[in-house]
Amino acid sequence: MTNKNNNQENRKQDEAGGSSKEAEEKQRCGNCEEYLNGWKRALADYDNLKKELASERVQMRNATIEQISLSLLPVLDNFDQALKFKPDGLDEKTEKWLQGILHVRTQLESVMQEMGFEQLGKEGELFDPHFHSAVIEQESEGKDPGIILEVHKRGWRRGDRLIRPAIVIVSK
Amino acid sequence: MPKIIGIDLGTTNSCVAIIEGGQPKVLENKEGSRTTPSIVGITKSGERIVGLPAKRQAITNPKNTLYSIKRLIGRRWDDSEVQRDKQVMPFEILKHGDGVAVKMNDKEYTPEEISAMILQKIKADAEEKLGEKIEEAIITVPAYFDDAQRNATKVAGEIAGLKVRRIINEPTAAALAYGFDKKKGQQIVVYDLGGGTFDVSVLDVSEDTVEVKATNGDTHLGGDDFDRVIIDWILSEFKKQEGIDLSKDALALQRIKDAAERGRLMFQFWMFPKIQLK
Repeated sequence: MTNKNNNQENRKQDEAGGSSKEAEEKQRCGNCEEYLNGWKRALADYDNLKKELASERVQMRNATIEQISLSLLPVLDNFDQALKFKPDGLDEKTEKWLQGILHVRTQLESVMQEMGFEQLGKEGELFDPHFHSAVIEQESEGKDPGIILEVHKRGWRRGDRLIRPAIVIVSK
Repeated sequence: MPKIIGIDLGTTNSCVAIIEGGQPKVLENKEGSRTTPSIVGITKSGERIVGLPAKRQAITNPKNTLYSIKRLIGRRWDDSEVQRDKQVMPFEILKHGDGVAVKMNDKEYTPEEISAMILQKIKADAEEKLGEKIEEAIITVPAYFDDAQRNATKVAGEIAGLKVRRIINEPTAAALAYGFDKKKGQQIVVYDLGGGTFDVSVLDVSEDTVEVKATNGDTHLGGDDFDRVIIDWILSEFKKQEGIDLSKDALALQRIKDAAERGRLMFQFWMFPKIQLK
């Protein structure tokens, strides 16, 4: 009787041990899956972070270039303005000196081009509000309406980003 | 979970934000600005433009460049505001049933349709920025907007393809953005100085509601008026010092206008900003 009871107890313990082993195994599998998923997520997050950082680096570089350009553009504007008031009848020496000064402007323009900037707004072009900003509309004989008569300030773009629209006078 | 955008559909400028990490974050538009001019236009070649490009053609194409449409939305034709705008706006404002319509390129549009064009541009720019489709939005309106104006704003959102989850008061949105809802049981005053309007509201922030107790202001006072005062001051100072009147010189005026706006914006950093004509 006692032996029978002992056997039953052992069986129960074996069964209990078996089911607890199964449960442990199940938990281990569950944990493994969770860790695996976590690792996969971390890898994906890391991959996304790398992409984000790379794109942020490009954005920061572009923003810095654009910011510097915004400080440089008024220098070019003032060159343009000064040249509009160039006195007539300059002697040869002064004319040569002026050519030298103009080279400085060309140099500045080259730097802008090297940084990927492109000029906008030319006389005779059709006014396009995507790239030009009109300040005056005036009558002009023999010109169709909406033609740029004068560029007050050159516009600039870099890639598909408009840095500054050209400030223009347009025919009525 | 799809993102819901919050839109401040302003009289002069509009702005869009999302909640990120529990905080509101303003989204830049396609042009890289945090605000979009609430202006819609049709170019002489027939292209519809919204925002900055529309603003740029305002001088050459005033009849087809619509701005301050918020002043007309949900209004009745006989409202004094409509009659006032009819006198001063360069574009045509027409009677449309009991309400109003505006004319652009010989076609009539309701203010809801024009506002929808602004909302469409905002939605498209937000989608491009976030890289996902946006279907739902919350739009803010002035606390003094009546039911008709609120409803018209909602309709504008729906025309733009947005499910308008809620229309909320602008001062309430400002209070929430600043986290005032976390300090219960207080009364706060919100000053909203926009491009063309100035609103002052007293809010009662309680356990689960923000109630507008009172609202007032000036519907024709904003940053643009400040610019005008600064421009006039520069003109008079220049005349005093140099003896030259620049008020008739459109090109000089443009430079002064830019400088005045830059100067006004600098007031947020300095008490005495320096205005420089670049």
